Amino acid sequence: MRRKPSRRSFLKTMGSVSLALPFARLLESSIVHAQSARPRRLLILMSPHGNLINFWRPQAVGTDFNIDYANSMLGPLQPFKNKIVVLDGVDYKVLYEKATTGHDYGHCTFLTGTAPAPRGSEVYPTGPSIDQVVGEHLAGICPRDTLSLGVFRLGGTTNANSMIFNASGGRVQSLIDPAAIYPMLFDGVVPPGGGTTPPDPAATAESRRKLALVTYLNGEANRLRPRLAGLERQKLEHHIEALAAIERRLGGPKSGSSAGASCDPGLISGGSLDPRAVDNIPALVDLQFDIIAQTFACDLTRVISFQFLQGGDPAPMPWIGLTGDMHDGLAHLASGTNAAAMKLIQLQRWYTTKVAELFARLDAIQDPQGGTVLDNTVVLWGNELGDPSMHSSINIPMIMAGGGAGAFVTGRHIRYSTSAEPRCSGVYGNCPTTDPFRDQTAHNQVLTSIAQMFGIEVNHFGDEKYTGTAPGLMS
Amino acid sequence: MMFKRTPAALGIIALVGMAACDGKISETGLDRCTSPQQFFEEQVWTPVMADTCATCHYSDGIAASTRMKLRTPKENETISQEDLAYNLELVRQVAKIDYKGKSLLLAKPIGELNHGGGVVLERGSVGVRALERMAAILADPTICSETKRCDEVAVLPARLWRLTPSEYQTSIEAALGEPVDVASRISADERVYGFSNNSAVLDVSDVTTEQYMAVGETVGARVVARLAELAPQNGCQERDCARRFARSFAEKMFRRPPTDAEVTSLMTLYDIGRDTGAYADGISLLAQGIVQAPQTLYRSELGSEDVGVSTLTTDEIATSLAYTLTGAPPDEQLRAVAADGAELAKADVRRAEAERLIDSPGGRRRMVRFVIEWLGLTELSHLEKDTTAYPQFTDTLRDAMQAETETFVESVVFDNEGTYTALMSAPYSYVNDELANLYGVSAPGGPALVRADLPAADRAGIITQASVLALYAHADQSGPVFRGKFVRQNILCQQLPPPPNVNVIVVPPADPAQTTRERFAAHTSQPACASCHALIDPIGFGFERYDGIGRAREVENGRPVDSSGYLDGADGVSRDFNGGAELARLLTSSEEAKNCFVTQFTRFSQGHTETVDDVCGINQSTETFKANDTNIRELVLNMVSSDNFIRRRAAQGQ
Repeated sequence: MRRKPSRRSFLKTMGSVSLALPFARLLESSIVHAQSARPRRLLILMSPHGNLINFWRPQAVGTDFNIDYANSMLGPLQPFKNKIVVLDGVDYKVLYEKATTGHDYGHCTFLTGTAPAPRGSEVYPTGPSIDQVVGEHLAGICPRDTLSLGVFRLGGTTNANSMIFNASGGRVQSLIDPAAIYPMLFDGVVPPGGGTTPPDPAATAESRRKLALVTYLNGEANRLRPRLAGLERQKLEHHIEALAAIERRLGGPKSGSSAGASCDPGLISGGSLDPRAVDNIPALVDLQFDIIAQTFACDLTRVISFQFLQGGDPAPMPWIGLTGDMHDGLAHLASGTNAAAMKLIQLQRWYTTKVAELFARLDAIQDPQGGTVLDNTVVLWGNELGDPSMHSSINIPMIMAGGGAGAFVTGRHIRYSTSAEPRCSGVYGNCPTTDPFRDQTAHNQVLTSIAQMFGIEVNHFGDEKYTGTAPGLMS
Repeated sequence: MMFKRTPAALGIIALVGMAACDGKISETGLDRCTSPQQFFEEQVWTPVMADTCATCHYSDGIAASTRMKLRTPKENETISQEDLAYNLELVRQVAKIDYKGKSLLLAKPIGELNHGGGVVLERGSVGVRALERMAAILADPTICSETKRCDEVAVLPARLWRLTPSEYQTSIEAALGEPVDVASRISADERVYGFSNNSAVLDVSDVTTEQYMAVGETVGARVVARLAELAPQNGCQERDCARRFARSFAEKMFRRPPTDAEVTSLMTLYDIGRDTGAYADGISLLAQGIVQAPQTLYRSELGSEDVGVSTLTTDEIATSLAYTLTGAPPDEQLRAVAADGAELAKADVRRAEAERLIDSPGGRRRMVRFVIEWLGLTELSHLEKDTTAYPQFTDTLRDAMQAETETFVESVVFDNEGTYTALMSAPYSYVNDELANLYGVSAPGGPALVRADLPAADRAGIITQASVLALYAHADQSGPVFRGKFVRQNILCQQLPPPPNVNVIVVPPADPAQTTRERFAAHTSQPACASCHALIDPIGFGFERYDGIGRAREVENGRPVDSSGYLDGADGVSRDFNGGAELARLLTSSEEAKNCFVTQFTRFSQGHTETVDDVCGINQSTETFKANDTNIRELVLNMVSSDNFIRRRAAQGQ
């Protein structure tokens, strides 16, 4: 049933085509008129299977923390130690206080801050995810408001394994196939460095045709509108909005004002890979990370999310020697320093290694207004669980990084609570005191902080019970 | 009115709750029911649930982690009709679950099955009688004397039903007459009850809009590559040739002739393509426009009138028949019948066309697809096992498992007994050498599937096949919880709650000294677990005669396997069984199982999640289904020949 990965190097070919395309002048002029302020971006990462707090927690708090110890899950981030903030003691309070714990709910609540509710066979969050809200707030600065990417072996076909939701509660599909993403993002984008060729008449014709096409589709969709009501009309209006977004993109500049000298999508090379084959996962992650780096370098959007697989996926990780079932054979059994715990550490260290590689890519790109892309980005890296053997919503591993062009000070380990007992999962009756989690920070507060960093004046994000920002995070 | 309660206060709540409802409820009111909605609001919600259940079972309540999370009004406000309807559906879901012959709606508040809030209603109290009657009404809404006729309440709204990626691919291939890779380029949709075609969630997002554009470019290029054949320029002026192409290609993709206004819009598109290039560019742009026009992307089910309930247009009926039965657009013969005015509005004409379509290769594939999605086997091709525990679980064995089930379904439905009973209990299946080895029957000699009788002690129909058993199992061991939940949810349509916030949700690790059943015993010793596992485990443990890849076994870790279990019936009887084959045969006489099968097929064929308004229609179909010896083909044919198959309620009639 699996497709064999082809060795054809499509991306390289396509990259060289787009190098020759025009719009350099447009881009050049937008750079000239660019604002001098550094561009603040948002990057969200999620990896699954939970963590073991004792191997994730840095030694010492404050600025002199240490992640470089034996079996440290965060060890591979040592080169970026000064560019991260470890948020230690963040809970999905909204789950254990208002919903239920488990993989299904962790994905949905991570970025929405809501207590998802089951309806029929599905789970529905009750608000949009932070990336969509920030994207809408920054609308118009770049060709795209947001971009959702992922590596989803199982296809990501339910709300329960998705993390991005729009304002009307709809699941936003993550793009999983680099071969399809590449032309979608980069066709027509010209590196600022190579921008002296005059506009190509063929490209002008192409853009006129595309615009005509979208105008036609919009007209036809509007013709149907009066005949629908309720949910049916909402769905069609969603379609019409999507067409309008494409229309705006076609009519506007191909890049934002922060496209810099590192913008060169032609550098990305890779084969066409089956996005659902286990063995392709490392190569798919690398390609997606190249795409993220170039998307920021060319300033195609300010907001990107990336999901590494999903909780509950038993896929093995043969590339680091982990065979068997990563879900119940490993995550569910990890405890103390048992064999499963050691494997979970190995698994999470692989994710950390990949995140460090992504940081290295972003740190190598200079923004024209100053700083590297990493410095100017607000990075949030989370997980659907705390301790996986209990489906715990306590002590969710949360890392912030980058700094968002001065939005927060990095190089710190913030520890919110010393009293939380990780071996209880959230029902008060099972834990030592009535409310052992009172000092823990609700993850909603992290989301609220991020919203405020982008100038969105709210005092809560998601469920209204959890107000305020994450203590000590913001500058 | 709402305040947070601690568990310590629960005893008091119980007393207060009972006092409150016993004082308010009207005894005589229990006899009166004009509609399920009226009864729920007047006899259940207001006097019983608002004070007794919703004080904990609401979004900030201590029972917020259960499936029963009721919507409650803000302080000093009354509950909205929308929230009442939402709560009624929650109640209906809970009421459907049987526990020892009682609906869970009763078993929980009277404390028969562990209830976190303790006993909140006394057996025999007026509140309990109201819930009892509610459960009965939800199972059969015709109890309410003034309920409208089934076919009046269950009219679907006028809607646009977006094609699934796979339907989109077959549509494009039918219009072009050549294979095109489309489905894999469109993001997968959310599945609802396992089905990939639920109209409510099939929208067109920012992401898919761009994917459709990319597909459009491919189709444009394909058309241009065959320009002389598809848009010939002989005997016509250039623009007239283009118009001819626009009409013919639009008619194929829209499943009806385009209107003049639609052709005019298309010609504007052509002109821009032509102005900026050549004839071929104009044609390409036409093809791109048509292939992603809303008239193509959506199955139109708007009806012939803009007000009230009306019949679908004849083109819409043809479209609906074709996609429902074959997952593809109408073929030429069906289009010809559609062109003949109102013929397809006649049930007998529709039935005759449906008989032809259902038996076609596309119709057979569609039926198999339904069963695969109903059983949740969609992801079987990605199933991985722990190769240390199951070295024989190879990719070829896994693919053979899927092929076996597909072949079996097609054979039962179309070439053999044709019944649900046979699907659930047939003594035979289709095996190749690898499967024969797994089932312990003699090898047919090769990789091809050959019909074989399987050992009757362990095999009967589809739920004892290796595909189902391997999917509903862990990577290195069997899966009593998965299997019990599968039977409850997929076979009996009883949706179970997620695990609550309890201390340990761990699969007990393999232990060489114990059987799986012994290791999982913790479920029943911890009250918080037992309240759900009492519903799951008695069924799931009955499958312990199969290992994690579906092989039969008598012993596990040197100890004899205990595969005794029991099945709760709504009739109050618990029926004992031993092993999956006995369970499967038991299910063939289960009323709930047959009703569920009809429900599942209704979900799939209507792309719609049923509500209380659909229950009486489903019950009627189930009666006919049983009268026809559970013939599946007849079930489908009756459904498409029913009046409601072709009726929709217009936007202004809602």
